[in-house]
Amino acid sequence: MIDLTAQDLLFLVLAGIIIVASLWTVFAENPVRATFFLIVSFLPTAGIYMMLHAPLAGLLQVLVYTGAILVLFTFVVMMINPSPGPSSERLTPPPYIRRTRLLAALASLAIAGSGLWLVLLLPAGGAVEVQSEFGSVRAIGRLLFENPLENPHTISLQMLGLLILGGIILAVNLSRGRNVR
Amino acid sequence: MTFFNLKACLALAVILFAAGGFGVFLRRNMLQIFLSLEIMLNGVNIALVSLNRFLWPETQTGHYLYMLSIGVAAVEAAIGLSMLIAVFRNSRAVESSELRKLGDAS
Repeated sequence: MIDLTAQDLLFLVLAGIIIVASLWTVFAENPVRATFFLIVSFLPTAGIYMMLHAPLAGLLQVLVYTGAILVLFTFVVMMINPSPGPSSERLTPPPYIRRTRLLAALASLAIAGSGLWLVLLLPAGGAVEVQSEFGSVRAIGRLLFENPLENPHTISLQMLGLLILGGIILAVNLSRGRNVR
Repeated sequence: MTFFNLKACLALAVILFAAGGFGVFLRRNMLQIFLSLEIMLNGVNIALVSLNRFLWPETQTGHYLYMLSIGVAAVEAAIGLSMLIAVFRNSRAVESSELRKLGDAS
């Protein structure tokens, strides 16, 4: 019997909320509810990052993932306004869809089973001490921007900026109306 | 022996990845396929940060990779959702089976 500390209990509660909300997202019929439960699953992930001594990652999870990306999803859900009538998912699916569903279930169970088996083979690592600066904004800033002309992290971060710029241009072009020239 | 260690975090990551993959294979609503993709990315991010915390505590490269990953996820969400809106504008449907009809002249 493992005696659970307060940290373990917190981790178990957060992980349970994350897994239940994610499964709810996957199986929800209503896209609005699916988006809401994805938000419910992302907020405890920030708590897990805080427990892993990653406060900047937790903040970015709340600000960027939950605050920006999922609000974008919510906007799109409101824009296309999925009708509550019988969607094609609720009609009787053709047999190839049923075969695909069976294959999907088997493939996901295979991924989960083999992954969990590999993870449980790992040696149980002891408690690892970290320095007090680990994961702080100061340490990550030093990693990213120290000696910027020779730092590969700086250059790849700028590449990410270019990627985002290209994504913005492509998204604007794709979502522009057909009659707007 | 505490329960909160590398094994538990990686097990959580694997479960999230498999759940997201199940959604990607199963759903036909493209919006929910994107949501399942975000669940998969969430699992990978948890794996990145926990591996950095427990195996390489002297560096912050995992956090840096996490930042790159959410940048790419933001771009993917923006482009995917604008494609979704373009398909919806053409066919008034968000099911991925509608994508088979893209070749038809409309």
